[in-house]
Amino acid sequence: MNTVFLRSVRAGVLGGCGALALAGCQTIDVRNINVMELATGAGKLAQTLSRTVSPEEEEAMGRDATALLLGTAPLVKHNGVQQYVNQVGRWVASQSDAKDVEWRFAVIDSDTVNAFAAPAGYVLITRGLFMRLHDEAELAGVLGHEIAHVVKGHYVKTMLKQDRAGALAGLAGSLAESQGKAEYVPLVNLSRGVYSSGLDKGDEYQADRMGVVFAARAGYDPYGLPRVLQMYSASAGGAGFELLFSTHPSPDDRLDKLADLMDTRFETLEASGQRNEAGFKKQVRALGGRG
Amino acid sequence: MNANLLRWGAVLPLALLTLCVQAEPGTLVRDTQLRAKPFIDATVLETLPGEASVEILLNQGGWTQVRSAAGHTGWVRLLNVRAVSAQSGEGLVSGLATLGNVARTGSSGATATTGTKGVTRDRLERAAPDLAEVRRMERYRVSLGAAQAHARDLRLAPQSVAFLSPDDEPSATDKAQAE
Repeated sequence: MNTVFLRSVRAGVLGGCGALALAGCQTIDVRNINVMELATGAGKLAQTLSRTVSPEEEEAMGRDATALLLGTAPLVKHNGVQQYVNQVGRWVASQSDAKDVEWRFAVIDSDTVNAFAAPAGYVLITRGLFMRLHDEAELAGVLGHEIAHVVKGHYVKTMLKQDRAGALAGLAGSLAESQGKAEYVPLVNLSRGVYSSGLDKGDEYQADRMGVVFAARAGYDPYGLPRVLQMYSASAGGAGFELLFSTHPSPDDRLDKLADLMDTRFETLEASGQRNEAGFKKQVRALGGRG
Repeated sequence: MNANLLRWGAVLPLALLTLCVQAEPGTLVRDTQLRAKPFIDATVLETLPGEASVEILLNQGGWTQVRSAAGHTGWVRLLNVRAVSAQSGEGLVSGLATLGNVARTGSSGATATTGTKGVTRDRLERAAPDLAEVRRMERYRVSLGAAQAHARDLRLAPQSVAFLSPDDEPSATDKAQAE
């Protein structure tokens, strides 16, 4: 079970959360949340604070968000490339502490440059981004960033925060009724807003930090993600980057944050880290790129 | 003499850019040593001041190959360089943007896109969810064993790397659940 609570008012609800933690629930620590925005009514705040998300609900949230994203752009129809992305993603994800997530990765047929995570271990990368990458270390960095969003429950938290229409209140009932065979329309509509507006900046910076660490732990060159951010920076204003830029902090700000933290700490790993440029370019060629 | 230098300083980067499609205009964000090779102990060719303009040639690991205004080609730390994007109006149209499907609309740097396919804000607003496609995605899942085999093939050795912030550590309950 996922328990979402606000750190800033944690003292007031600590007793309840403590009891849940003892019962073996997963606790998602919610930061950077605008309390005033939530506290339009004391009742609503209390409702959000005490909201727990069961594994079944989290899976439905991930599934319906992914169904929406795949509705905008279907899977790239290439088994080899999809298997490859799953092998790399699963390996990077195994470097996180989350051991009970069902990881599912895919390349989607979109010219736009972006990658997405959804609750319960769904990760998508657009063909437009995949084709602009140069090696497997860059792919590992991008997937590591998305894996961090899942591990830290960023989308679960944001959906709860933005659920002004009360979509999640009816989710459990809907799941019992449909037995998971149909999407839950209010959840799909909630996802439209969440994926159009993006996450908190703090969530993105955290995913950058953790993405670099997961890729480095997996044995890759830790500068893969910074190189991708450099590419974003050089592409500002380019076609296909609009949604990415409107939903993320500027690439230069993201690079500044990483520069301060990475400094000289990764010099040894930089020399030993793998890039698998040849293997990656083979996959790019399989999708019709020059590789 | 000085006037000549200035003139060449302005013209050379432009001439070189036309020769090398990949070159991107960039600036340094802190004082940086330009080294002959991408190694921390390689010969220093030049010490470049923060905010110096350079031409970015390529990235390799944690290093970026650049050409300085003085004409030296060498390597600087990747995180010490920022590309000057076309959008900022300071530089030339970036190579990537020109390769893309972009029509520039005047000096504002605004872009009009034609026929961009895929995930856009507009499509997120009106697309119908596709659950059948989610089920197809499930088929591509691989086991941890298959992922480990891929890692072994590439000689990817797991490394011990600490998180960069205490905020990133798993909570005590996450750890309990993982065990």
